[in-house]
Amino acid sequence: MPHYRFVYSKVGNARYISHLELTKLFERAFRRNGIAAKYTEGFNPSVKLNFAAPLSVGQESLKEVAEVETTQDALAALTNLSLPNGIELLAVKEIEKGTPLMSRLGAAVYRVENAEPIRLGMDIFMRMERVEWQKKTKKGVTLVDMKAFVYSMSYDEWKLKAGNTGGINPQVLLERLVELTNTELGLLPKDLGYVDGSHVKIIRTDLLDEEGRGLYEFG
Amino acid sequence: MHNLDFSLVEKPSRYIGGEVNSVVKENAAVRFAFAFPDVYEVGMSYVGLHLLYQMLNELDYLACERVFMPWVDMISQMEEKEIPLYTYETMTPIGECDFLGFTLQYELSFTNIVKMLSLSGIPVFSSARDASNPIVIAGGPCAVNPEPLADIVDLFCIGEGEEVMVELFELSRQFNLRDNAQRDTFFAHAAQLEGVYVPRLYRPIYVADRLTGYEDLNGNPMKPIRKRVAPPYRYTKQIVPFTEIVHDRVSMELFRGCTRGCRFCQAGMIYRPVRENTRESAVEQAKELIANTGYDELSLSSLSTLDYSEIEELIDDLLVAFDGTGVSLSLPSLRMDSASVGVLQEIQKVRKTGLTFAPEAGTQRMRNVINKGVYEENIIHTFEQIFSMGWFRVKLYFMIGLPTETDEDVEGIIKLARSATWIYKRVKPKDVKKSVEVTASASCFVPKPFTPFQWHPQCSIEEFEHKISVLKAANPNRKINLNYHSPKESWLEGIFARGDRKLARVINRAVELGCYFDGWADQFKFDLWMRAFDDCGIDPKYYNERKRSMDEFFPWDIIDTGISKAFLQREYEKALRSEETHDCREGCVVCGIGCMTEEGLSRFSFSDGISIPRPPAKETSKFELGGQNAAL
Repeated sequence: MPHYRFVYSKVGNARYISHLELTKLFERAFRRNGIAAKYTEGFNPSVKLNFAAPLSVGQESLKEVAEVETTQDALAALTNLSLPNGIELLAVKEIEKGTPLMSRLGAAVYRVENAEPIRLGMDIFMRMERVEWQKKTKKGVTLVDMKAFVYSMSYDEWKLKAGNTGGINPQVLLERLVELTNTELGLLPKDLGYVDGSHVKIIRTDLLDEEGRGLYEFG
Repeated sequence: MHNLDFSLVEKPSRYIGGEVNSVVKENAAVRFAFAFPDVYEVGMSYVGLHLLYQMLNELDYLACERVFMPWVDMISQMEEKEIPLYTYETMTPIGECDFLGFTLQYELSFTNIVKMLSLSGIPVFSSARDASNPIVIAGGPCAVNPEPLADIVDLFCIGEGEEVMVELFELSRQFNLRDNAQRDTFFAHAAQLEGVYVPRLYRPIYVADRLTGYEDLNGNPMKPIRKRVAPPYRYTKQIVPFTEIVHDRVSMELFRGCTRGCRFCQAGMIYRPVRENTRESAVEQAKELIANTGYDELSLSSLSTLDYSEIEELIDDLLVAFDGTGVSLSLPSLRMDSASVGVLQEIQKVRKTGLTFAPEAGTQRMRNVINKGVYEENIIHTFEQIFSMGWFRVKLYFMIGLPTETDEDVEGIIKLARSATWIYKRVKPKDVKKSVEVTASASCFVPKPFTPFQWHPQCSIEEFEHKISVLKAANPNRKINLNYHSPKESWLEGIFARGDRKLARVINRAVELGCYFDGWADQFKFDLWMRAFDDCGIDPKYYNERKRSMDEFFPWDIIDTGISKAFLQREYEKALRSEETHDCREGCVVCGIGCMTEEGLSRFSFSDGISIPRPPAKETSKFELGGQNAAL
């Protein structure tokens, strides 16, 4: 059974399509394009389609990675896959079935735009020894150090921990940076000049494995 | 273009547009906003939307775009930011479109229509609009009684839209609709098209508070507007939503109209004559629809799908066509006298989940009153067959509040549902351990225009509530999963179903007071409705609970659906005597449509791919399950 790994982008209004909706979207696109995807067994068969990391609703990305198993050669069909506005298939290649993408995922890279208002917060963040974070997990809430989830931070690019062993959503980081900025400036929400971070644009640009290599390119 | 924040609302993907098979035309001579007066998930499940959308967008001068009611949280945001409703395809505010069309699927959507107009800054009443506003049109099943909306809608298309809508838009190109005088001329010309009703050109005549007829503006008696019967458009695409909607599948019409003549059913009457898609055409259409959408489910939808003349062969053809593709077939609720062994065997190959049937009434006498044509032996045989074949989940649809109904008839609903559980125990396959799941769903009967029950008073809310308590009392240990709807919504529906022109003000007042999304139980505000009626000085019971006299002129008598009033009266009288009428495939019952006459055959003869079914051979098919319907 052939396995394929592909890269797609999800931008503009397509960012509001949820992960579950996206799965259905690809299933239907495969069917429209005559791609015989392999289905799981059982009562409600679904396409054997695996994603590296679900994108939050509202988050744009220039490079998402997924894998699909088909019952016959589908390279040409995948290359020409027709998709709705805002979602585009950028690259596809055949691979040997290996470790699931989600297990290999180690980090996600984000491009940050219009971040001038929160530069102050970023400076503070980088200077702090430890940033306490009540992280919500499946089991409840644990107290962790947010800095351990931020591999690198510059004014226009963040590399954040992602994958099965835990990750951080860039919006959560943004909220903290906004908080740090306003605390430093002594501003409350009702004050003039309060920085709200709503103009900061964050777009995912890459997914990396645990060795820091491109998730699509390697493995 | 706007500063709406989709991340603040529930299910944002239902607002973004850009779906597969949506058509964007930035430049078009005529821009038509097709408005479905409910949320996206409901509107996108309506097959007529996809059909008309594809058909109209084939006209290169026309852009047919969509608009839906935003959900409550989005409405708040739009009102707060003063953003008017806009179309999905080009984000054009609907107030700037040339035409704005509403599909009238159910009466409780009328407040949504008014709300959508208000949200777009379009004056609600027709008389308050001018050439700077879109022309507001409407069609769909409720348009057969257009009068409750006659002061709001500029123009109705009665019957099927395939031909008349194209004629209407073609005609509009000859006029500058932004000029008041030319617009008036357009209306006068449009009114000449068959099936078009322009309310402003007519007025009702009242004598001592009783409606006696309608006249045109010159005082001449109004000629009834004849509904359009069109060759069904062969649509091959559906817009594929991102969001999960009510019906996430291909829905294909097999035929229009129905020959059974169930007396409560308006659709069966108003969509006559029966016209079928040929089997070859249906299979091709199914293949194209699946190929263009990528859906994995195909629903064969028609008023009585199993009555399609070659249903077993068609199912067979479709199973062959889709073998190995993962595409499954689904059927809507089934008649209990047509579910032959052959058909069930075919269905079972792809679907092992529940089956749905609509006995509609719990006792044989009641079924005779409503002319359902389903008998005890049909019901028993159906249960025996499906349960022995392995099905264990069945849903049964019923109505309460039917004419002449007694408490005993209501209890009969539970008895019928219970009989399914006993039959299951008796015939289920030996190795199956699980118990049967039987659901009985009871809705409150609403008498509709153009049915034999159009004279009959609807039950009061108290009467409905009593019947519901009888149902519950008959099901004390909850053996049957009982679903019932709130009587208040059906009672309100009953007012507008048989309403007149005076009701437009009440609808508007209700919206002013805060009513909309009336079809949604948690949004329905009955008390505000009652205030609206009071504020307008209108007694609601005049419309639903009043027994109408047999010689009364109804507001909807200005519409000619081809069904004669004399036929409906005969059927009503037979109903009150619990007498049945046979399926008209066995012999014409003279309903008035005249599909078997020479005139009818030439009027309704269409191109390849459509046919009027001939009466079936008299002998019973060897696969027939339920036994011959012997009534005559």
